[in-house]
Amino acid sequence: MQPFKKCFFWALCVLLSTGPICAANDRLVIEENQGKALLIYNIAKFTEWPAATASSDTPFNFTLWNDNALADAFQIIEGQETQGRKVKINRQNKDSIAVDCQVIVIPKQQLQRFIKARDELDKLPILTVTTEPNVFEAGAMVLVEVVDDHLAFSVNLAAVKASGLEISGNLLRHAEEVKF
Amino acid sequence: MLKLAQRYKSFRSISFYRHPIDIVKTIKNYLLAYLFLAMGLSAFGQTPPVDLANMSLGDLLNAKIIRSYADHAAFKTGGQGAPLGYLDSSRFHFSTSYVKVRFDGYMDGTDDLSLGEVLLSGGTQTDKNFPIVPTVITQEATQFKTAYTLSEQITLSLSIPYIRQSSEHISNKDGFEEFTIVSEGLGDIETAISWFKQLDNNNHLLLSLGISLPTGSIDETGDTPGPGRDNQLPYTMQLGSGTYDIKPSINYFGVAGDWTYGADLNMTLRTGKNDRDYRLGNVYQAGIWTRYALTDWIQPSFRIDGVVWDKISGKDTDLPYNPVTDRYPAAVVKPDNFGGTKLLALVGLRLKDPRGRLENTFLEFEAGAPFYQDLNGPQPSEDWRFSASFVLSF
Repeated sequence: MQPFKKCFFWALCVLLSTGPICAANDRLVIEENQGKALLIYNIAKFTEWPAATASSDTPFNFTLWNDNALADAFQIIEGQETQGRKVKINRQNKDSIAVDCQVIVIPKQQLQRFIKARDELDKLPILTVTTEPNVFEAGAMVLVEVVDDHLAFSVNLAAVKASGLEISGNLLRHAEEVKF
Repeated sequence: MLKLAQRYKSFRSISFYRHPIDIVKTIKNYLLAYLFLAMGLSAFGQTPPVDLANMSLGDLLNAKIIRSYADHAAFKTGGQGAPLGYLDSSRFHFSTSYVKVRFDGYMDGTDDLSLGEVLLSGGTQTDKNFPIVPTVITQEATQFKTAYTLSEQITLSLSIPYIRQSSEHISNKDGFEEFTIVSEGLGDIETAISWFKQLDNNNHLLLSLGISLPTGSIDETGDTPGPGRDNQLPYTMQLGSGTYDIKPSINYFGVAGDWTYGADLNMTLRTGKNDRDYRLGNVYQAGIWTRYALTDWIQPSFRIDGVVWDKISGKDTDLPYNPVTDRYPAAVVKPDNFGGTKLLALVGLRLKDPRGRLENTFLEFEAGAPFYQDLNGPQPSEDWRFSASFVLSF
């Protein structure tokens, strides 16, 4: 191989090999449902429940309403620890309300079910998180959504406080919108 | 030694001679380059391993999100005018659909004609009457469709139709006062590539380019009044176009709460002429639709479709025609009596699994009728249409 050709060949190899690595390292790529599950898990980490509801030997329950795709994505956090308790994922496809949980995730197309359950949920120390703006408008505490190509969340602080929960200011400063 | 070394050097400078040491070096270089490239290029297909469950909030909010469409608005539009397969996070999509269209009665322009006006019964034949008149035409198509999602934006699809058509007639020909002809078989197979673009959270665009292959027969024969018992059937009874047809389409759809809505533009552009020296008219279809999610699993819909299609160009010379009088025995064998404009209203109902387990699967029914027709007539007019489809994605 001629010296010039040799230099060009190796320069091309270096360029082709390092370029994608740099590009890939630039921003982590996450699938939408997995990203939402992780964000909801993170939000739960920044939330405080009334002391009476916490017992370290019981699981920390996330209940998902009628969304198997999202529930599958939540498997990534099953068994992890938050608030000193092991995370457990529950799927709830019936119309009843799971009172024995810390977080209820309300997906799209569940507005009517949420409106029916809202009065009862308001009395419980349960963080209600939704991926549907209409459900957030109807009173859910946290909205998790994808804006452009990144995750974002909004918080209805008044609803959070009414349920006896506390959300850290460190979390709120990342929120797109905080309703007082 | 020096001489030997010089001779060895001179040997190496000759291009056709490769010393084993050089060959080993070259192989080593290429192996190194290959490993280097493989390591780098593999980064295109994966992100570095990260403990996702313990990601910081900042990293998570900064991550690039790849959409999954299983619970997204786009999913709700599947089967509604838009090609299959772009709508959810599934890779494979199968659908089977059954469509039945019934033509009953005649129109010339926007005027309804009675069978008595279209059937020649004594007197002289004009442009507007014929000795043979199809009374009720029924077209049924069972379509098997499969799609494969190549990437987040690109989907390939293949449709295989099986067609059955029947036509009841009355005529003033002895022995054929009333008769029915039937044709059935494979239709024109279609393949398409679709490009999906998410405009924003609620608005989506799908561009498709398909090609229809001339796999449907244009040589269907049957027992009709004529010189023999096995005559070429009219254009309406053939199973394919006989031409390669280009099928571009644009579909827009959006969502607002429990409402999903959209607009479609689909075209069938014929190319050349078929083996029988004719070309069916181009078809241009535009539609608007909306669907409401009454519950998670019951979703009624409403659609308005407009269709414009052209006359047949050329002529099948095996079909009966009297060149002396320039008259045809039936409207359905006269190329000029094709084409027109019609507007249809259709209502539909999509049913999903109430348990929510089969999220990407649904059953859909749709029925409707034209409320405006302007036909190059006399031409059989559409009475009603019905479709049922089952979509399965995994």
